[in-house]
Amino acid sequence: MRARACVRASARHWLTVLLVPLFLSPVVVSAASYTLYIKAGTHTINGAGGTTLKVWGFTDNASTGPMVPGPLLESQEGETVTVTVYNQHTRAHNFVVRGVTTDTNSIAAGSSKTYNFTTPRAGTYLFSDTLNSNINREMGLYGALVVRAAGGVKKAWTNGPSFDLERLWVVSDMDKPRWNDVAGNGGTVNTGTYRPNFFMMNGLGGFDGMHDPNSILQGQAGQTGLVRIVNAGQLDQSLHFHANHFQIIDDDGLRLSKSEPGDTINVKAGTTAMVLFPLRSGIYPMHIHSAQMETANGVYLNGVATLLVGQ
Amino acid sequence: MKASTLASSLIKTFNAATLMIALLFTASPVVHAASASLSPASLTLTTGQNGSSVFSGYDGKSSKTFKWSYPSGLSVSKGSSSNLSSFSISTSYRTITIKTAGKGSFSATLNLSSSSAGTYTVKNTSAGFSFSPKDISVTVSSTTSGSTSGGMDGGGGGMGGGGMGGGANNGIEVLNAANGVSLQVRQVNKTMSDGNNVNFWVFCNAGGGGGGGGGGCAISGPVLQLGVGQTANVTLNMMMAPQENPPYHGHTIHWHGLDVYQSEDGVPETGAAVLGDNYRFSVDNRYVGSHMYHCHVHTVKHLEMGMYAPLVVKAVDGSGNFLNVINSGGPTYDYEWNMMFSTVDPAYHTAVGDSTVFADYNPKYFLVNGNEGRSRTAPAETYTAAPGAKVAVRLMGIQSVNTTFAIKDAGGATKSFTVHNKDGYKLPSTQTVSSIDLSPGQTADIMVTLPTGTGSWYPQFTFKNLRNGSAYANGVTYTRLNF
Repeated sequence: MRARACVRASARHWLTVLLVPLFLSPVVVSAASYTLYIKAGTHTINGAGGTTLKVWGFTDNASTGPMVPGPLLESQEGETVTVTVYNQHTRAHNFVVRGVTTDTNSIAAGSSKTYNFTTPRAGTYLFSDTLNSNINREMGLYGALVVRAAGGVKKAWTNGPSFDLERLWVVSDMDKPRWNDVAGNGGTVNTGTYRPNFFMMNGLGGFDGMHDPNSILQGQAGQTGLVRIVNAGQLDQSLHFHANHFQIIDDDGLRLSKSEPGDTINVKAGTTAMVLFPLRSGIYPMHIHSAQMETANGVYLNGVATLLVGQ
Repeated sequence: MKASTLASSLIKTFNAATLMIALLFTASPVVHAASASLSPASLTLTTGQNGSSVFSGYDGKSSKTFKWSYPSGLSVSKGSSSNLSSFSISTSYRTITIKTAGKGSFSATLNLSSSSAGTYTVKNTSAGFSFSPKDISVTVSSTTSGSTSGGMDGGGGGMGGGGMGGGANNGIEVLNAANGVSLQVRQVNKTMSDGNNVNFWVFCNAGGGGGGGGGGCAISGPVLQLGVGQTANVTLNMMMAPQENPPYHGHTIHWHGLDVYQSEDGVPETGAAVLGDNYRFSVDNRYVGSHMYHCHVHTVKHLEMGMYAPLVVKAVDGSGNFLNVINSGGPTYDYEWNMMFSTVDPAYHTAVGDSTVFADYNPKYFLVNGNEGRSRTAPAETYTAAPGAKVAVRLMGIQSVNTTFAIKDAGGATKSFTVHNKDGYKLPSTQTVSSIDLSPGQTADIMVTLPTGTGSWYPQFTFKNLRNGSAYANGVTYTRLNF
């Protein structure tokens, strides 16, 4: 299992310490800083039906291959975030945090670009490469930005609903024969046809997704779980929670004043959602309810799946 | 770690090639100038009254076989016939089989009656060629007032005492889950609108009629109703059930939308028995509304095979009688119409095991309550309610693609409706809308008030691609609401 990176500049922490006594302000404006590299490489889905796919992705480690999804970016309401992106691939890419940044210009192969932005609203965001008719995103150039309430309190946003546990589920899909194999070998993808045969939970097939401590929502029964869902794929995904009814508190950035209940949420391609629920005692699956998305190239349960575990 | 220990059992290391079993696949019939119909396709009787419907047509001078099933509670007998090589009715299996003689024109009269009020459908289960109408809807009203027993087989209480007959669907069996229900699994072959035959696996009421009969098996199994605070007692009887080879052998029932104990959740990977089980659970007021039940073994195939049915939680009065309210504390309705919609990729019906077929979904048929309905004149289902009535429409999505539901009037104008529940949970405030999107696994409970004059509305489902939202070819399924 690849460790999820949350590299933050150490400067941020001593800035926070420094600023508090100086200004005695309840709102502490601090900064997070990330360095990302865009690379071509491979991504492996383990287990029966799994495979190794050619991908393009972000990583925060100059000496490793790409990560799918990319490194987790984290900040708090009101913070300034700096992201420097080095494009170490042979073609142009960009870096766009949906709903936060607006610069869609490309970063030429071999060059870099620094993005500075503030994150005024707590929530869950998709970042991706928006170029090349969705091919770049499909190839793996995506990840999530999580913006937490000021002060890092366990609320969905300042004065918003509280939670005890949180998980981030970046769900996605890849069409190996028609997109990854073709683009990964320098060919031209026919974007008119997309028939994905791999479906991932945080980059994992379901066999790993149901073991992955970063994906499984596990805690004491009765604790309130917050799940941040990012659909970085090309298909809408319908996530079904067994035995754990949730409230939808954020629908693609829209905070719902009267949150809707449900056991199945449709997260459209390229959008996000946040749901909140009291964790029920027992071990229950969460999986996509569309037939093929439960599989890895047809092998059952190696698609988008994880577990909800209340003790 | 408890979780990971259990989860590790999920890993299937079996070689898919060893799992291959050949499922019977019936060759497509060739459609000549053959045609047939049932007339009348709709009968209204009182209890004890006899009616009849005639199946007649032209068989293209080639012998053809047609089969129907009918629910318990309905009596069917043979009337006159011509140019048939066989005409048989099995009262224990509740099936009708007609084989034409290959002489051209033919006819067969079916005599129908019932001693219990309710709506019954004689449902075509296989056909030598595509024809329409192919089902007979028999509405039987009580000759005595004050009857409180459910009209449908074993239903108990489900019909309510509303006097307008608010209760059952056309022909789909309604059972009270608290009364001790036994379900079995049977294979049903269905001739689709393009003439192709597709095998389905369906839940059937094993406890109806003479017992163990398997008659009345239909795509979308029996509607299970459960009163708040009452204990469901449902047994899955695996005897003679069609199934796959290990590791995907057996079946379970998952109570989709009910927050039941892990032991009742029907998921083999978290401990559910797959060779038959008894399920017991109860729910509180929050769940009053529409849910579903389905098999959770190798779900990518078994659900697609047709192993699904509606599960409706009903509010109850102080005596435990079902109340016709849309949710706890919500408005009353006069009729409730269950509509479970699904999609069919025929390739999934013949593939087994970890086939790469299951990596790609290409639905060809779009069903509501197990039927196609490609035009207003050939709707998947016709429901009849009184003018001015309040109708609860229960939308239950077991499809694998996105779906948009809307209601059109005879002139094509959109009729708005009010959404009360989503996923069987009461919304914080009702929503009056002109359409609603339902993704795979979602349900919604909506209400409409019909006009005071007579007429027809056409509730319709548009099935859409998950990538771009475009409608599939033949992806609109029509139903009809007469008033």
